[in-house]
Amino acid sequence: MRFAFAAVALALAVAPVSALAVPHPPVPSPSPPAAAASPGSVLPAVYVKGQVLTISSGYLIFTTGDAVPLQDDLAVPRGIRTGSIVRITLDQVLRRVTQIELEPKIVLAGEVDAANIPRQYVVVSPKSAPLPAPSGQTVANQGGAIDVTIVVHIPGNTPASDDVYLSTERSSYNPSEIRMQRVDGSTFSVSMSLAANTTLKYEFTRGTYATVERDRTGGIVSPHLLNAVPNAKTDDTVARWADIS
Amino acid sequence: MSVLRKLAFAAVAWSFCTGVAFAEAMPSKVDVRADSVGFFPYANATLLAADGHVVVRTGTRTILGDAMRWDLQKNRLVVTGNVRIVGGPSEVDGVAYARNLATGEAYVVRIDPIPATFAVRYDDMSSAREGPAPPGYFDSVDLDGQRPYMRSHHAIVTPGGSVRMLPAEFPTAAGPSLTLPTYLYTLVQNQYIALSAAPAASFDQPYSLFGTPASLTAAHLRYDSTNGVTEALDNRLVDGDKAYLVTSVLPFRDSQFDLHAFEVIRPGLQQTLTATHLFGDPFVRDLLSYQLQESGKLLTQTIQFNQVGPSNSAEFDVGTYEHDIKHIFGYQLKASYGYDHNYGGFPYTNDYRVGGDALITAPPITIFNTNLTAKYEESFTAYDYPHEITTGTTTVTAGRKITPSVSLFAQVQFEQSDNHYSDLAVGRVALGLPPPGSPYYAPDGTPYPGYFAYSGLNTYRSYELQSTINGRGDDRVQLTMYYNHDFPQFHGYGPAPLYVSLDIVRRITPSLRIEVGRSYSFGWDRQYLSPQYTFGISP
Repeated sequence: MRFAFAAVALALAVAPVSALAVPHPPVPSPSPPAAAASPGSVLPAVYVKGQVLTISSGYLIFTTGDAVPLQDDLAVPRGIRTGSIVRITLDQVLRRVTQIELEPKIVLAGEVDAANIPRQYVVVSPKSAPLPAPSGQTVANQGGAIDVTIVVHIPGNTPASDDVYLSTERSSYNPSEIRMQRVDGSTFSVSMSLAANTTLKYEFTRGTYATVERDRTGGIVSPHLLNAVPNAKTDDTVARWADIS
Repeated sequence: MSVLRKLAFAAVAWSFCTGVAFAEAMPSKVDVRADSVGFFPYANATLLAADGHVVVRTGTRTILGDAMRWDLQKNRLVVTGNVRIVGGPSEVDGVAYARNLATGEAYVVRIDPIPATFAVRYDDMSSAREGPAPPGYFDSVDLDGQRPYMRSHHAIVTPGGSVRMLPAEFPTAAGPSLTLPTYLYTLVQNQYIALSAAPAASFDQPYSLFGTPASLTAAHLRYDSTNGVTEALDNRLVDGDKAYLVTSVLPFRDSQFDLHAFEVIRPGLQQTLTATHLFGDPFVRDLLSYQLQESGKLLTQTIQFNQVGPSNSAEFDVGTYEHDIKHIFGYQLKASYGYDHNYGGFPYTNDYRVGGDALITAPPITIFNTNLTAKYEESFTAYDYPHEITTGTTTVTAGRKITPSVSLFAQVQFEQSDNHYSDLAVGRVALGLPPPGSPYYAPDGTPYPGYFAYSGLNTYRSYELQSTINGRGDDRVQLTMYYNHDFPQFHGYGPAPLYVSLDIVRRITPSLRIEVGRSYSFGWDRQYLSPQYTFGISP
C-alpha cells in the first residue's frame, strides 16, 4: 500500500517534468518580448518587422521576396495571412525565426524593417536576392484613424446664402455628401477622420452636380487628392462653378 | 519600294495592329471563386481579397492558390499558397505568384529546395528565368482588422470597369449582414460615372445594375422631405475628362425625366445641354437649356438658349474673370443681350433686353483674430417692354475661431431692388399680379395686398449668426440663427422673419456618418413654431 502511494506520488511529481520534455511550440506572448537574449543563445535577438507574402515549407517569405527559415517547432500565430504585418524574432546563433507576433503595436528598440533585414538571416537563391528598395520605402503603419482638415476658398461671385459641400469618392461623388463649415465669406472648411495612409479623392459642389466646381475655363476638374497623414490640411481653391462663369 | 522595305513595313504594321508582341492584352473578364472573397474599396487601394481554395479564371488560364490579393487600381494580382497556373503552354507552380494584368509581366516564387524567384512570360515555366522581382511587386494591403465592404464566394471582375459579386453580402458592425442576389461596384476612376441628373435628395442610395469602363446604369432609392421615399433609374456615359451624358428617370412619385450632357470641344470651349420633362406638372412640362461657352485669356463668352414650356429665350453674355487689384479690391464685369419669346404675348410676344452686372470684392482682412470679408454687386436688366430691374446687394461677413473647437460666423446682407415700369397701364396686365378688386389670400388668411404692396422698391435684409462646436474628426454641433427683415414683407411669402436650425453630425462607425438637423421658423404662415427635420447619411 505504501509502495503504491509512493508510486502515485512520484508519478504526480514527475508528470510536469515529463510534460515539459515533450516538444511543444512556444505560445506567442501577448506583449512584445523584451530586447533581451533569444531563447537559443545569450546573444540579443534581432527583431524584423515586415509584411508576410506567405509561410510555406518552413520559410516565412516577406513581400520583399526575402525568406527566413522558421524554427522547427515554431507555433505560427493564427490569423496570419497574405499582407499581414508581423514582427519576427531571429535567433542570432540558430539564424532562424523563434517567434512571430501578428500586428505588433509598439516599436522595439533596434527593430529593423524587412527591407533592411541583415542578409545573414536570409535564405534565397543568390540570383533571386531582392533588388534594393528605393530609399524611404518601408512598411507603412496602416492602422488607426487620422483627423484631417480640408479648407477651400470659393469665388467672389458665389451666392452668399449657398453652402459648399464636399463630394468624395467614398460616396461615389454624392454632390451633397458633406456640408462644409463656413469660416468666413470666402472660405469653408471641414474636419474628418480617415484611415491612416489612405488617399481621399474629392471635389467641391454647392449641393448638386449642376453646381460642381470647374477649372478657370469651364473644363472638368480632376478630383483633389488628400493623403491621410498626421496634421494633414489642404488649402484648395475653386476657380469657378459650373453654373456661374 | 523594295521587297525588303515592304516586308519591314508590313512587320511594323503587324506589330502595331496586334500589340501583343511583348505584352499580353488585359483580360476583359476575370472570374474569381474562393471560400471567401472580400472587396475592400477604401483600404489604401481598391482590393479584392480571396482566401481558401482560390480559383481565378482569366481567358484560357486558371490560377489556383490558397489566397489572392488583387490591387484593382494597379492591376496587380498576387496569389499565394499552393499556387498552380494551368491552361498555359506549360504548368507553373510555386508558393507565390504576382502578375501585372496590364503588361502580362509575372513572377513566381518557388522553394526548390530554397526560395527562388523566376520571371515568367506567357505563364510558360519552360521559358522562366531566375531573377528578383522589382521592389514592391509582391506588396499587398494589410487587411487585418478591416471589414470588407462586401463579400461573397464568387466575383466577376472587368478590369478597369467593375466588380460584380454573386451573391453580395454587406457586413455591418453589429447585427446581421445584408445580402443581395448580386451587386456591381464600378471601378471607373471618373467622378462623373456616379453623376445623377435627378433632383437633389437628402438620402440617395445607388444600386448599380450594369457597367463598363465607360458607362454605368443604376437604380436609386431616395428620400427627400418633400416627396418621401422615391425611386430613380439613371444611366451615365463618360469619356474621360472630356464629356459625359447622364439620363435620369423618376418613374413613380414626382415623376420626371432629366438629361444632362457636357462636352469639352477643345480647351476653353465647351457645350452643355440639360433637359427636363415633368410628367405630372400641368403647366410647364418641358425645360430645355443649351449653352455654348468659350473662355479666352481675358473674357468669357456664352451663347445660351432656353425653352420653358411654350416660351423660349436666347442670350449672349460676355464677361471678365475675377480680377484682383492687389490689396485694394477685386472686380468682375458682365454684359448680356437677350431675346424672349413669350407664349400668349404677355407683355409682348417678342421682347429684347440688355443687362449688366458688376461685382466688387474687398480683400479679406483680419482684425482682432476675426476674418472680415465684404462684397457689393450691382445688376440691371432693361427690356424693350418698358420695364427695368436694378438690384444692389452688399454682403459683409465675419468669422472668428474662439477656441480650437468653437467658432463663430456672422453674415449681414442688404439688398435693394428697384423694379419699375414706364407704362403702368400695360404693366398692370403683364405683371401677373392679382387685380386690386380680388386679392389673393396669404397662407395665414390675411388678404394678399397685391398692387397696393407694390412700391417699386424692395429691401431685403438678412442677418445670420452661426456657432459651431467641433469634436473629434467629423463630429460637430452647429447652431444657426437667421433674422430676415424685408420691405414689403408679406405674411407667409418669402423667408420667415426668424429661423433657427440645429445640426448635429456624428460619425457612428468608420464608414457611417450621420447628420441630423432640426429647424424652427417663428411667427410665419400661422405657425409660430414650425419644426422641420433633416437627416443625412454618408460614408
